[in-house]
Amino acid sequence: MARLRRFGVRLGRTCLVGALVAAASVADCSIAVGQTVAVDDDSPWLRAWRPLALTADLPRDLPALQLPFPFLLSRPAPRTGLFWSAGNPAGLTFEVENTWSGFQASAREASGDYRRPLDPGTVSRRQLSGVGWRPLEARGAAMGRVVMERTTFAENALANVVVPYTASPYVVMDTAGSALGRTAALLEGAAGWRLGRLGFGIGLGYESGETRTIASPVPRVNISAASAVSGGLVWDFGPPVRVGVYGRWRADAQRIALYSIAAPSRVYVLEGYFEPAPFNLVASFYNRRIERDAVGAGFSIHGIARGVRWTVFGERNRMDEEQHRILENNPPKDRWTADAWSLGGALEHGLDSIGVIVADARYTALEGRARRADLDDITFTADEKVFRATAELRIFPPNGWRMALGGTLLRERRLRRDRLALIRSDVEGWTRGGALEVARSFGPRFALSAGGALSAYGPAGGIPNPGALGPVFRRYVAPELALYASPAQARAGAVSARWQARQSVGLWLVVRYDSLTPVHAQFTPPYKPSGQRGGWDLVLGVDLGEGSQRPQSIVR
Amino acid sequence: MVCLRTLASALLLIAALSSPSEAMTQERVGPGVVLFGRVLDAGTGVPVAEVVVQVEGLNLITVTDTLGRYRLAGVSPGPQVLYTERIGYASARVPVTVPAEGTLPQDIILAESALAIEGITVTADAAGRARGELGTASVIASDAIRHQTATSLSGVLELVPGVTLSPPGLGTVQQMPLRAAPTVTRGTESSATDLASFGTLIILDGVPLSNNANLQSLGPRGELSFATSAGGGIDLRRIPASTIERVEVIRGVPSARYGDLTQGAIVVDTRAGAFEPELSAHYDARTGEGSVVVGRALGDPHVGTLTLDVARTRSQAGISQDHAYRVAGQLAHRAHWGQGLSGRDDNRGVLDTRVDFFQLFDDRPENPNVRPGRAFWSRDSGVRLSERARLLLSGDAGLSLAASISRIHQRSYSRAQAVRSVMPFTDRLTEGRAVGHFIIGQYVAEVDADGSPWLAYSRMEADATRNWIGFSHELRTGFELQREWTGGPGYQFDIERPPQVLFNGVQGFDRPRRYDDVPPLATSGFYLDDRVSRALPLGMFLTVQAGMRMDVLHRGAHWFSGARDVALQPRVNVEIAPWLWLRLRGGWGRAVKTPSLADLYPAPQYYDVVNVNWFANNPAERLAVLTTYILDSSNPQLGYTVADKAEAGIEMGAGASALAVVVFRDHITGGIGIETEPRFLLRDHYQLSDSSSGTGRPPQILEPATHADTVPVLLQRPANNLTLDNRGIELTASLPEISPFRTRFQLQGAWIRTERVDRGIDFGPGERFSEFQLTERRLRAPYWEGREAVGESFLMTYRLIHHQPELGLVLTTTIQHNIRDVLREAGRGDTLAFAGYITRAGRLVAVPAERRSDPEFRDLRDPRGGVLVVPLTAPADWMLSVQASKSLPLGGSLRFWAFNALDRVGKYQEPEVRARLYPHVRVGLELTMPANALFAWRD
Repeated sequence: MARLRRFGVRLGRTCLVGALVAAASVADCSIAVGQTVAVDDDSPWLRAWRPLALTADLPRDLPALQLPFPFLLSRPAPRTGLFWSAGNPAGLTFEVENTWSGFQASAREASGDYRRPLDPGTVSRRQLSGVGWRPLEARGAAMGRVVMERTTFAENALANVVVPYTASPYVVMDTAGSALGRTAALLEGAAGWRLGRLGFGIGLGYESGETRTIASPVPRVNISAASAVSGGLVWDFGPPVRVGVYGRWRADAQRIALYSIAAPSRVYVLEGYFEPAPFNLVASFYNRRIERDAVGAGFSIHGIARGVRWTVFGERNRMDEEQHRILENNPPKDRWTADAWSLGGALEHGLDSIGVIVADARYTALEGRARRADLDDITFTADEKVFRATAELRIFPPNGWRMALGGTLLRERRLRRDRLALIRSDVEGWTRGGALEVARSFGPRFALSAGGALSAYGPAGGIPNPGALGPVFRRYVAPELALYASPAQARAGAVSARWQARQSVGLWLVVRYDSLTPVHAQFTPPYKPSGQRGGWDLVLGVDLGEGSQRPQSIVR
Repeated sequence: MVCLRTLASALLLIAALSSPSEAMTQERVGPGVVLFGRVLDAGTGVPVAEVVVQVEGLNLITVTDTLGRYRLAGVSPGPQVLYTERIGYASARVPVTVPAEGTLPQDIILAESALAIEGITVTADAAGRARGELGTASVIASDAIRHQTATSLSGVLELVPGVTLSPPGLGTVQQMPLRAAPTVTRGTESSATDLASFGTLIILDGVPLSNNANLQSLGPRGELSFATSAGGGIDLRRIPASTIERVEVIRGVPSARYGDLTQGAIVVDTRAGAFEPELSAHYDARTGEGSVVVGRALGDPHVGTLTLDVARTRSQAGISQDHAYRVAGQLAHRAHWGQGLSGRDDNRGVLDTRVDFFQLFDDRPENPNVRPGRAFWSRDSGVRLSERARLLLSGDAGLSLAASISRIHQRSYSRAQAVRSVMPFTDRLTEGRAVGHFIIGQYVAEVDADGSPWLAYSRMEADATRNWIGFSHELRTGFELQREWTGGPGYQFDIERPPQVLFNGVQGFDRPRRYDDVPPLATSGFYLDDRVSRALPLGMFLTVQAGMRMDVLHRGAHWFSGARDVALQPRVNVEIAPWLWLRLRGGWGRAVKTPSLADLYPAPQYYDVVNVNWFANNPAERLAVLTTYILDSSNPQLGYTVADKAEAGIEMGAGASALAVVVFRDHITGGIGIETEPRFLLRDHYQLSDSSSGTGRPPQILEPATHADTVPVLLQRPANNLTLDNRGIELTASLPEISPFRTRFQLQGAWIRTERVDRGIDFGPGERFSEFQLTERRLRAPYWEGREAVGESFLMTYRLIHHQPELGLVLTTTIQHNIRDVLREAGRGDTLAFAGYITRAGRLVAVPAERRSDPEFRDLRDPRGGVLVVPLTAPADWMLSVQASKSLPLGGSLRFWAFNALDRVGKYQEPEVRARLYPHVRVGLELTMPANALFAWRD
């Protein structure tokens, strides 16, 4: 108890961290129920380093799904630093001092009507993944991650692109909406070395997937590939300050093909809010190619002050997207260009040996412009700003109990203008969330945990009146805007079990349920989806290495 | 446990000896260097005992003692590769540069995972040598095979220079032509790279495979569309990559030991011996594969091995239900007898028994949305029993015996909708005249081809090592007997609903044929081979391998039935090493390929000449009378295809760094193509009685015939009329590792030009000749001769290999650069290209080129058609693939691969430029785990 009291005193002193914990509420884009991307249910510190992290893009998730679940028994404690917070691979060698690896097999089912038009009605995913890090000799360190997954999209899988709700207005869809199956694999790795005070590092990432109709008279295929490189330098000015610069590059390619074999379909390339011309697919085929090229450069500074490890970083990004459908060399292309910048920071404070508190925040602003292949002028613009903050407090007293508090705060403002339709949407949304998880050990090898999380989404702003616009807008665009213009809330609950099989081998199981429901509001936008959406996860994992010696999975 | 390991090591050693090509010469007396050192554990640095250490290609082998020490004497100077094997450790290959004389210390590090061994080899050797061979070869060892993305043998062979990368899977028939570029094909014609007579020998576990008795086709005019390798090489899909231990691709002049080939030999060893059980699984969006390999010591002196592989590919997932799947496995048993391993003069023997089996199903079910009524499948399954024995007569002489028998059951089915116009029809199966009937309209053509090729093979070989007049000799002599035959009901179809729509045309057609009637094919061969080596003054070293082989193609079904064709094949390879870092090589030799059963005994051709074609509106009043002729299309002159192979090369390098350039020319004559022979069939004409309409019955013919004329037809039969000329340059280079980045660069490439000349004559498309056939007023028809097709390719493959032994990580980036790719035909296609004409009397009249523009030949001046006069060049482009292999904590490994990782599309077609479109990106994972390690965490 004395240690707990000391912890309370320290907590009060670390006012900055405390403020963040109290006011902020963190922002982990947890499991995206409606999205089609690989499951990225990790904390921000497990995402920032990834070479494949999206650059100059702000994908739109379903609202209120920022559930900051700590996963006490299955996920290592959060970390901060040049590598973990800013994603500078040169920081790896300074920030990895133990060996740890985790592998997991997971299953997810999600369904429900409270979704956007291009979100599939039912999502079923099976995934195998692994992540690990370790020092290399005395002067280096490496980290890697691999994912393989199979996802089935049933009921109205209309989108023909991997992620339909990105900042770019160009989205290929067709009206057949047959069930799809997607097989994807991802590999990422980073390594850093130290030469005296200089650290340098490189990260490589590769992801590819193949989406195909399962059984359809209108077969559809999407083949995607993304490759990424990141590199950085860090100069160690001596404890506690390190300064780094880094850059990243990512290239994406997608091939889309539709074949009208036994039934017709209608293909649309949504290009904002303007009514698109349909491509009638009758005993013919349609294809489209999407290529993206993104670069970024940033700086990062890390230090320690009064026992608090802090990191700040800034990043400038640019992304060029080109789309075309003609099977010839050098065809005319629709283009989307986005410029973005980010500022962020992270704090970490150890609370003697009984806890750790970690917070991070990132602000990103993006401006994008679209040009159609057949027009000279800009046809669509986006001005989007997103602030995301997360915090997590883990307490692991020696009495067998453990507890974690998580918080998330997300503020999004997305101003999207269609210069052809001469209309715009301007939606500002706030998401606040919190989570609590408690764990108890039963003997030296076994532990159980249970927890819950809640988040709420509240919008403001304006969206176009769909009554004055065309049928494609009303059917495939208006419901999405109506959903963002409506308050919603999400809940999640999870139970976990962990068995420490050996000193360096831990097995764990997580069962989680989450739901998203609309909240009653005075104003109900037209075409707003009804119902709710929910899903569950079953995850079985094993972690190996030094970090798995203690059931609480605190590895540092 | 120690005993088991000792036994396992002994068995490994004996396994290495069991191949008849691997004459053991421990402590060989004669020139050479002594190589010695210790074998150490990578993690602990502790010496490892009972490790089998051998020098690849030189037949030198030993075992480490309890202090991990080894010693090999008589090692030839120059670049060599040390190869080690021990149970519980990954095999290691260590390149060394051996000095001209003296001794060379070389320690070897072993690790549990090959990924953790310094200097792991993940590509073919830049200057590799097949065992017992001096000609150019690529050696692909187990660590490279484990790192390669491959479902079957053809995927492994992508490590050979000049081979195009392709994604793994079982979707199509896979064959491997060596040192040849694709050429233009027309209609059902095969590219030179696919023809059986231009063959690559495949040797699986010391015994050759053969496709000579595969008849699953209707020949050159067959309209069957099921997946078949008939008429070509062996379908490599039957050999799973997961069970392969080592591959040697002999591209240069092989030793006299190898016969029945024109373009090279691929020697495949599958995994056998005592090793830890291993499970592996492969998964990508199209293909799933699982395999298990188990090797167990069964108590002295026995060791057993089981391998099993199951794979399935859906080639058009989401669009069609097409799929192929394979089950393949092997049971192996080895036993040895004799004294221990250390003595030199011990008499000992090795008995190696293998039972291979495979099933390869290729199903294309009907897709009613795309092509209603069309479906086909092929189901091949086979079993092979092989037995090899080796007896060491003394320390430097041995006797080897090999025998095998294999049976494959091939069943293929094809169904398609066909439409034909009105035509008289008869279903006679014998020659003669018959009243037929009329057929018309749409029908479903179904063909069921069911055959069972057999292969019986035996070989006896003796080898010895001697020192005569200062030269070290490795002598080898042996003889082979091979018999192939086939059985089964053959291809069966409803004669009235054949797969060919225009079956009354000028070229005859097929009728159902039983394979039981096809006579067997018997061949025998004898060979003598000597490899001589000697140190020369000034530190030079000379090696010569020379031999003579004689193959006999027998007339009858057995080996005492006289010779149909005999071929003497001298072969010689010379290598001289003026300095340690330089080797100059050259070779010349002749090799022959046996004709296939389909070529030796083609199906007879049926011609139905229409005597009466009385088509009335009332079906009851119609009359068709036809005379059936059956022509034998076999060619008694058919014999061997002969290849004259020559090459010269230079190799430079030391250790793991090497540069090799080889210039080659394979001139192949007597390749088996189709010879078109005009024949004239007698046609009787009759008067009809009571041919007025409304009678309700057909008219009658009035005997005798009023007159007769002749109907020209074309008889197609196999002939040795093709010439193939392959020439090119191969380049392989391995640069030294850039130490700070632990990265190596390797490049390999080949420029190959293939020229195919067809010396036969042709009469243009069938429709053109049919006008001459049916119109008596047309007194002559043109013919053409001498088609020449040229294919040229220049392909470079660059590999960047990053290795972190500490992490057990190997990253390989492969860029394949298609620099040049040209197809063209050298023959003329204009109206003056004809060579002469055929008269209605059957006489071929040549027309000199200068007279072809004369007015009297106006009627012959038709464009030849189908000749590609303008070369079609594909634009240069490149494609990138990546692979990452990582060792896992429990002793397993995980491999991630991405084919065409950047999803480059290539280039679309433009005027006079061919399209070069790359297959889309494919990614997958492969997990390999030792079965024991899966439960290790319990300890």
